[in-house]
Amino acid sequence: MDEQNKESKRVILQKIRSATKSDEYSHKDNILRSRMKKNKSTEIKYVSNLDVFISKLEQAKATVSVVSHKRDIITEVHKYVSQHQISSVITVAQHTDFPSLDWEGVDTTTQYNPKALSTSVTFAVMGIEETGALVMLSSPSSPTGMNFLPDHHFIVLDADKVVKTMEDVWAQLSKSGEPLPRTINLITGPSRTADIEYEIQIGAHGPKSLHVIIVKNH
Amino acid sequence: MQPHSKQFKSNVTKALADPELQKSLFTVKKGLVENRAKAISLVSDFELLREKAKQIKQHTLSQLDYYLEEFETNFTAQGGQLHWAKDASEAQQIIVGICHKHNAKTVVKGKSMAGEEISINEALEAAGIEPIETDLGEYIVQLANEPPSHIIVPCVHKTRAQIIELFAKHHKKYGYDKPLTEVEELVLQVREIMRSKFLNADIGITGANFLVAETGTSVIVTNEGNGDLCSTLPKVHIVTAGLEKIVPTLNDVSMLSRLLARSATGQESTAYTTFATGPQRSDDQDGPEEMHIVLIDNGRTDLLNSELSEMLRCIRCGACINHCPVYGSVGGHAYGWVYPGPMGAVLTPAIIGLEEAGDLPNACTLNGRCETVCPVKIPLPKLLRLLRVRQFKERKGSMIWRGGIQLWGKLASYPVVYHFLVNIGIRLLSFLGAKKGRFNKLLLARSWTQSRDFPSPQGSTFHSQWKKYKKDHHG
Amino acid sequence: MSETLKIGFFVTCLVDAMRPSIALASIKLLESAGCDVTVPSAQVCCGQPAFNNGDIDTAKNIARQVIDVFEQYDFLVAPSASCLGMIKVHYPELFQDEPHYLEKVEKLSNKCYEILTFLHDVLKIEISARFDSTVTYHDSCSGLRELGIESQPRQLLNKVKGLKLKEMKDTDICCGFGGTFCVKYPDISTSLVSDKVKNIIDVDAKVVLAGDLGCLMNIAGRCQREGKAVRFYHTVEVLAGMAAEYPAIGEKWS
Repeated sequence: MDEQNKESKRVILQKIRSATKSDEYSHKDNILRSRMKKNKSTEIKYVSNLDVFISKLEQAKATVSVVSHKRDIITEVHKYVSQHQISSVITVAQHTDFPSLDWEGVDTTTQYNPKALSTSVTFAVMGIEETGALVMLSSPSSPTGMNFLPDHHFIVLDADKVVKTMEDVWAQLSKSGEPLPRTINLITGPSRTADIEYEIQIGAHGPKSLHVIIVKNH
Repeated sequence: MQPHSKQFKSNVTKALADPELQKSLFTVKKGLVENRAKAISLVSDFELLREKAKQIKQHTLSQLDYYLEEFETNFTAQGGQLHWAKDASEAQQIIVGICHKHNAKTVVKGKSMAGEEISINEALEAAGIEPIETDLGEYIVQLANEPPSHIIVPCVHKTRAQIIELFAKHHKKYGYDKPLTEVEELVLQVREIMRSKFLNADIGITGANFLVAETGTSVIVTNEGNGDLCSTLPKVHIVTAGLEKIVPTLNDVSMLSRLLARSATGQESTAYTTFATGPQRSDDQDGPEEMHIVLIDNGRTDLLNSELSEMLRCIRCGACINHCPVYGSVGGHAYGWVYPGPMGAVLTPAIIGLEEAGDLPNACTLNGRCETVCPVKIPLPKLLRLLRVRQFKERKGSMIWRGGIQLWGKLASYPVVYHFLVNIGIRLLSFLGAKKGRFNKLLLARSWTQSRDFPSPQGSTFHSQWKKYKKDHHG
Repeated sequence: MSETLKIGFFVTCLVDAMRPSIALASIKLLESAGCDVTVPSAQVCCGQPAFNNGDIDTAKNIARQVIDVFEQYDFLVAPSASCLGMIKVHYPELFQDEPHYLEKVEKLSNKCYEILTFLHDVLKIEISARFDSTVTYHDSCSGLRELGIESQPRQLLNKVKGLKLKEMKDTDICCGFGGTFCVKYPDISTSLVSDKVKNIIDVDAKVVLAGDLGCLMNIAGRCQREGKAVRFYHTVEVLAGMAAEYPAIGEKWS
């Protein structure tokens, strides 16, 4: 840390301490620890009925299909692209829950090229019932750009992975003890803006469409 | 930006005479207010959420030094670089420094009110770096060379026709010459123009809605997706954030985000909530190679050390602005700086001083609608009053009002004299007004009668009538 | 109620000067319900203009006067939510740094009432008045948000024979009075009150009633300037059946 940064930090912290009347080393060690502990959900609440979650997504202008086998993911993507006359190559992320999807019959690539990415399939690790959000983690095989660059975005979610609240997501992620990935995206619907005359317009800078494929009993 | 809050009164005159602006403000007064009401009605106990949110922010402020250091530790452990900026110029210097280090020519920007506050665009331009606003609203005001007029909907003061005209003028150079009419076309055109900007920019700058001490994470809550492209594609990501953005844990973010979108736009949740923790990891295919956070004080520690400290709970949702009748009639530019409405009327004088922004805390009817909608229960009318107290103590307000109030106070402490004098005045006024029942011009109340009639009193004061009545009946 | 309630009536400086009939109507209603009403002559103002203009010392001086004069009564009742909000909510704030005196302040705060809430909640008064007209009720901001007065005046008005109550749009939005605000920033104030007038015209009410004379003078003044034929009374004038005895606000004796 350079000298100026150090000095600014010192001044700022000193001013805060004089305002909050606290000392630098006044038994604060455990404030966060205890708050983190107190705040942590001990039990993760999974959702048994998907209806609320799906209705929240649909309210946010996503489309949703529920399929009963993972091979139906491909059928579903195929159906959607032909219905919407999407002809581009589909960039597909990789995910451990769905390691061996056979994309035969659909023009796909796993090569990530931000400059030419108009349709993508990525995998959510969880869904959140409360907000209809899909929880996306960045990883080498699932770069964040795949969630924002395409015109058309497919997200695949395991039906058993829908939790009640955002707090449940943190509880689940902290179980591994790993630090958080670089990026976690909570996504509820395609991108939108209401900046012009407060008229809601779907498809601002991110995807213009979001199709969610929920896989039951895969 | 250069403040012009001093010209509040002339800004107001201009705003009230602008029919396009008046039309646009209807959006805020109606659309945003109704949507919030609807979203809140779907929550079983919104009042409980408000109380919890308030407690989170208040607790954090009470241990702010500790949480900031925790944040620094955890953020740097993930490879991030934290910069402490005492004021706007130091923040500018830090950001321009990072840009120079990377020989940056263009910067793509997500919406950041802290960025507005430190005039980052001006600083970048002065250093020969092109800042490109990517949020649609911010982009529009950048084209128009205006500051945002609302913290959530920056170009709410612009009508579609004005935006069509702006695009026609500025988008010719990209080869667009077909005149547009629909909002959809306008949005699409900007999407197309921006895409290559995102892909080619050297640096991305965004704001932050929350900084999480527990994990060293920076959180943004958005709808367009531009913020995520800014923080994902360029090699360097810089976050500008006021130091009050800190919260202890991810669970605290979860609680606060229940209130943020509902209060701001009436959405249950925005399209995107993004948690970024440090630069890209090894083997990642995207994400910035460097992540910097510029933690901005710029008057906040002084605010913390003052009678206005509760203002630091603000999560910048804009609900107070949307519900403020004064904002609803004059719009954001009248306030003359970055933050408009009730929150702006507290923050602006607190940051740039009462000499500059002395009108703002006074231009409020104290109707209290803002306080009832604030998701973190900031007692805005009380804070505005406290600023008036400060102004009075520092003799920074109008001397005529000061003298008038003090004279009135003196007189009020002698009820007999007061009643005697007022009764004479009222008798005279009643006599003059008896014929019409009201006045359309009164020399001593010109500010009233310029637009309103003034009623004639009822002959004499109550106290004199009561004295007479008591005498007649008892004695 | 078996025991006679001793009421100290706080006239408010605006009613004292501009419209004594509001105080007379209030006293008539209180006495008809069996209250023993006294109007202490050593009262002037609640101190709100000083408080809202940052002059805390003056506000405190005036407040002390009110507190000392009114502590002897069972209740302080005033025909204005704005003044009452000052006494009930802001007096305790003013004396936070004087714990000894604060006790006295809080005692008063707990036994002071705005007239309409007092009539409705405490006295549960019977209304015998008649008023043949379509009226709309304007909520004052202090009444609505500082004191939570919303249903009481409406329920009282619904008991008035011949009266038809119609709700205008945006009842929770300020009329632009705001005490000294309306003369400090007359242009903004005019913009707000013009919106209010529009809502009144839209609902097609013949009479506007409210619980605060400040709002009433502001809206009436603007309505009359725009040449709109709407009449304005304080709610108690109608409840006491006294509206016919006095010209409406801004109108002449016929």
